[in-house]
Amino acid sequence: MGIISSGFRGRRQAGSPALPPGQYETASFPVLTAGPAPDIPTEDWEFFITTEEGRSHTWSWDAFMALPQVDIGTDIHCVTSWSKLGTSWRGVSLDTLFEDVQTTSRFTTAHSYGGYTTNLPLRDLLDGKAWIAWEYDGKALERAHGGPARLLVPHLYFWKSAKWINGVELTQEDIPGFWESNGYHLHGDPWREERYS
Amino acid sequence: MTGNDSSASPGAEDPRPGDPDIAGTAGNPIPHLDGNAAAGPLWELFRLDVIAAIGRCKHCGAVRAFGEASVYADGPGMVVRCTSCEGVLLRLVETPTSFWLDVSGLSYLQIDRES
Repeated sequence: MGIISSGFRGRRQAGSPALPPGQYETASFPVLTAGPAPDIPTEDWEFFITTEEGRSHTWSWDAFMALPQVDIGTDIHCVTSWSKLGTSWRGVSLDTLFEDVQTTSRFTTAHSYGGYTTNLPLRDLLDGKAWIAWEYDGKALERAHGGPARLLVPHLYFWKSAKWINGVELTQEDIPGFWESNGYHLHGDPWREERYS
Repeated sequence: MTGNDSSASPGAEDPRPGDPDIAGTAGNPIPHLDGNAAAGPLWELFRLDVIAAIGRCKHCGAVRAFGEASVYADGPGMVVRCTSCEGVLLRLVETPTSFWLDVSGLSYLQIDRES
């Protein structure tokens, strides 16, 4: 937010320092999806991290909720050009989930219920940059927005914040995911306008 | 993306159309369209009218008219899915310099020659 007073809630137009190049601010929360919303009861939900050696770390919903929970306030930027400023989330840091994971991999593939995938360098998931979020704006995350839980990587375009997250697979190579294999950028930094491949 | 002028069928085929939790906002289910929505961009690319074309889904083997498919058109690209198994039949992304077309979910598309 920089020098802008947090008390000022006015609409910031393109050119605002809070907006990456080519973005405009929206007050709504558009639903963009590549398919129908999976219905995942929390009793069936699971989050996994698999390593290049085939080791699997898994958490049930109850085990996940027993981990340290943090509040996240952040701006989000969709590659279709809308940005939503000052959003509020609650969830678990990927740093917490990766605490006991030993790996030499530099890349990951995030897997969602419903089959969606997206690729991210491991460094973009660690050091306080990514979370598994299950609450938005004080309420349980709606299914249309990825509930019961979604990946939240707000420093990259929002297609990287995979809805209905199921797990993260560590990979030696950077393997293009659903959109990255069909025209979109492998990395997706909005401040560098990494939209297309 | 073009194609927003086709007939919308919001929620018509959702498994639980009355489920409020599927909506981004109350009463507003995940929007999807029918195969007509993909016809415009494909006409633009190939000058072929695919609405009546018959396609075979590579995932489940269903053979259906292209116009019956489910189209998700408001994301970063257009995604056409099989109405039988929800598998991805086709993806189309328009960038400033290219069209990216993936038809790997279709084992064939049978397009009638105009009489």
